[in-house]
Amino acid sequence: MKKIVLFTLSACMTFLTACNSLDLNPLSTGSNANWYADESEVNMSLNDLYRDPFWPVDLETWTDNWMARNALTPITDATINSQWATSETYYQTAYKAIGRANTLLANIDKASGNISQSNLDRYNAEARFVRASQYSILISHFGDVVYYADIPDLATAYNFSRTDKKNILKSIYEDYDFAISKLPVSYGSGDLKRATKGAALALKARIALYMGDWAVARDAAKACMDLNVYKLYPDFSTLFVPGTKNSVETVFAIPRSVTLGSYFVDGGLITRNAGGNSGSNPSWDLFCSFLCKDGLTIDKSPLYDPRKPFKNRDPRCTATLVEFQTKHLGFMYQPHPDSLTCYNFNTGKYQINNDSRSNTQYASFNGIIFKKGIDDSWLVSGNKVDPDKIIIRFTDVMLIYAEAKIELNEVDQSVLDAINQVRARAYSADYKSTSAYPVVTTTNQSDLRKTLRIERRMEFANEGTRYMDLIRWKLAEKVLNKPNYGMLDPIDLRIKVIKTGLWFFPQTPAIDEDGVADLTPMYNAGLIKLLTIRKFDLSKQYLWPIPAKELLINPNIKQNPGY
Amino acid sequence: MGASRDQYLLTAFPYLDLGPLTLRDNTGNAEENAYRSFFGRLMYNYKDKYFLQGNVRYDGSSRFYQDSRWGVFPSFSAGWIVSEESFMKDIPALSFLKLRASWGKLGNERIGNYPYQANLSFLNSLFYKGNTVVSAQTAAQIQYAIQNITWEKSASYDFGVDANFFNNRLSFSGDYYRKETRDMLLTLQIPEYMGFNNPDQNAGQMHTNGWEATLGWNDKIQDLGYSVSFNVSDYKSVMGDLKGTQFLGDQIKIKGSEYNEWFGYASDGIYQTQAAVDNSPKTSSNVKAGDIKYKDLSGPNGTPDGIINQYDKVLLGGSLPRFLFGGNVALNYKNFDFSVAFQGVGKQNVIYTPNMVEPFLNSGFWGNVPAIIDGKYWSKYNTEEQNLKAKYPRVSNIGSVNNYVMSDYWLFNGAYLRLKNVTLGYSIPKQIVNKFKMQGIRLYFSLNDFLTVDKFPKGWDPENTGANYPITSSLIFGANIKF
Repeated sequence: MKKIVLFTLSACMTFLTACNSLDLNPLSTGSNANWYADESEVNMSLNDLYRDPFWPVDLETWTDNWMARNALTPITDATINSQWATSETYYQTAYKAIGRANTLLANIDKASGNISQSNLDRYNAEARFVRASQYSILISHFGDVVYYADIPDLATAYNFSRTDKKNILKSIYEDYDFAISKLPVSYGSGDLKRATKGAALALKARIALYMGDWAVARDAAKACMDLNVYKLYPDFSTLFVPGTKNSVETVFAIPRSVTLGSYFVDGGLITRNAGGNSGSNPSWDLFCSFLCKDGLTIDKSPLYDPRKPFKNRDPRCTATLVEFQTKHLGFMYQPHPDSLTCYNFNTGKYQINNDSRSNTQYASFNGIIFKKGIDDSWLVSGNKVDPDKIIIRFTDVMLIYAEAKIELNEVDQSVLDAINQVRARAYSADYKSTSAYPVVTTTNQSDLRKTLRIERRMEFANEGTRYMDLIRWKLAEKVLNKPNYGMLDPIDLRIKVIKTGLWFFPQTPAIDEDGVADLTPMYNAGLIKLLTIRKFDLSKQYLWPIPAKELLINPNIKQNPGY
Repeated sequence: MGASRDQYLLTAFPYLDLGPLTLRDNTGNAEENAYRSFFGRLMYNYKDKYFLQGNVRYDGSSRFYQDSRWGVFPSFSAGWIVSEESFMKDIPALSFLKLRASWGKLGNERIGNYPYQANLSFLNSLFYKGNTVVSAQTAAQIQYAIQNITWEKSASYDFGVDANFFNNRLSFSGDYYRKETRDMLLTLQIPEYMGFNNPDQNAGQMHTNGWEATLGWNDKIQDLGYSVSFNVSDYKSVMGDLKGTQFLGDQIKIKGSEYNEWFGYASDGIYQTQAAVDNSPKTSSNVKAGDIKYKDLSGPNGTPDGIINQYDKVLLGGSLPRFLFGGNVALNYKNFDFSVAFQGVGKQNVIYTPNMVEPFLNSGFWGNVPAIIDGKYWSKYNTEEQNLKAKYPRVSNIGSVNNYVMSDYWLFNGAYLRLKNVTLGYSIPKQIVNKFKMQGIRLYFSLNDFLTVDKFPKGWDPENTGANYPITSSLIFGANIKF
């Protein structure tokens, strides 16, 4: 019988006697558990709601004001779908802000013992202002969305479904009205300038206008105007440059600062002579939409000369676009194919002209470039620029007021005054001196509607409002189904346009009742080049798609039609 | 920690303290975690023939809340050297045979440090104070906290055999294992309208089956020594009920899918005519002839809805490599030595990435057309027969939204065999070397990553499909000299 040998090589129990507690809390971050204890913590939470990503501005690239060589966007080529990153980002960031505003509103009472009632009211009002603004972004872009105003737990949230945007609009109004009643008109010079009563009124007017709720838009805009704190900045041409900070016209803006690390770089808006790539350009459609100095469209005005298209135009034309043979970013700007050299103001010498497509094939494909907001300061800090990110300015409030009144068919002097003040400022004139600018006098509703729409386009070019204007005026299906045109390539251009003396525009396009130019005859005559065929699918594109992930994890969420 | 300054005036002096004071920036963070573990082990060995071992661990991690912090993880293994048994002694061909079996439970908590806490993140936002822009600190909870998050647990069985034959010249080792993972830690997708980043959760289950085998032979025929070995392994993980979904771009983890399975549309060739486009469900109204056609498989109600959209995405096969193999051959004869090492993957679903096949990348601004699609794409200038044979869709920037999304159109078998290394060496005989007061000189010639058999497009490497620095082939002549 075998002997069983048992080897117990080791039977050891090792104890790591306590050295460190396992109840660890984050070292370099805070924890929500004991937050909102005092006023400074509440303030820090509020500050978060004013961070730049929470205040998106719609892109001009989604509109007929834009030309980017041969490129289009998912909006302008109708390929937008539920996996489009931009719409998903809009959706996510809006809800992040909403969630944070709701968290603050649900917890602020923890600190109520340490905060004065008036401050407590203001903080509540700020959070509700932000929540209303974020839901405004959502319903204007996505239509019906999930609405909540508390802090749902995860299990409950998986069962949410979309709420009718009309009901959400009511909640938005309630939030804005609370904000309007509790927010200060202005802040002292020692306080952080956060949301104001005027901002709440202006953004309430905007969402009401976007939703076609004219009376609410009219009243909110009027109340904002009656605050008498905002004015039109006297000089349209310098209003948007980085050096103009916190102007009297700004109703709500997010400041930027290169030194404090908030800026953007956009080489597409900088000319190639100045070191940019000229990839982002205004469209000819925009160029043609500026009125002449007599207040008429270019096809009606005797002042318009297609050979000198910058002459005798509304001053916003040359404030928005760079007139040929003028100084821009240190160079004489001239896209003419025979302008092989250009003047460099920095060196005082002539040099190769990289803004002419004869020298550089990627210079502006249609010859024109943006000027609005762009000055020599763009070249200083490695092209980092920090103009205010204007969310809404007083001009918009005035034109919202005018538009709401026109739509209500309440055309009166106040409507004409609002439009004329905006227009007169462009001419640096007093709106009462009616000889100094083309004063608007018609009281016909449909004429005024047309005038106002053209006015908005001239005034707000490249500020991001055109997209929602196209959507709410249902104009997108028309203008975004028109091609984008540019100059012929240099060799053709010389033969067909330069030698025949037809530079710059070979013909004057007809302008229709919406202020939209018809460039097709020039194309049919072989005098201009087709760059891109824009496409807009009217069966679905007036709303954005709900992001795909939302639908796949929650069957209660239904997609917008067509996506 | 990090620090930076910007807009240097003295570009020749790249030092932090020489930049302008106004553009200073710095970053930093601190985290900690702690564990407390108790463990014990019992081993038993009878006559070097029977082995038993038992382990148990009891672990606590600071990453979990106190009520769900602790986990018990036992494991057992047993071995039996069959060849030591008397009834096996008279099989001369068998030199060694061991059977192994084990069962064990493991815990995993390799996630961020404070997942159960509603942490606040601090950032900055800018405000006007008077007319001056100032920066103010901000605070926000960005991650949804799940208080009862706890250990991910996996239980695995392994059965193995080690066997040597013919006086240990032939060796074989094989294992089969099965792993059941529960409470798997995944960042499941939560509704985006929650306004939080996706938190880690104890999602659910995963079932893994795998095996591996190694076979080797080494021997010597007079002066010629040689050895050959080959190994192959495979495993497959299938997700059980996850209580949710994890989206990973073109891949997904969802109940029934493989671990990180491809997820996208099912393609149906290239549209040859506009009429075909007009009569089909499509991704947008801007789809044209020459674009890829997809199958309308479902819709919001579970039935085809006439649109190609998120409901039509399906599982397209696993993304992980299968049947990984490798091996080497070594020969030595007198002063010469020669070796070959190779490796490869037997099967893998990989995609033609946009970098390989998409024309006009970079928003149609300045990207070029990849040479590999030249002459092989659909074009309205082609004949019908040419277009029927076209491998790639039309060259279009607008078409890219339709054509280069994830679909099985772009999947191909990424199996490969790679010759990692071939070396031929010659050691100069000692008596010669010693005259030069050296210990040894070996001259050698080697080829590294020199040959690959695969179906990747020309210029792309199966081990490096991103736009990274490529794997280089090298050809080396060298000498090892020992003094």
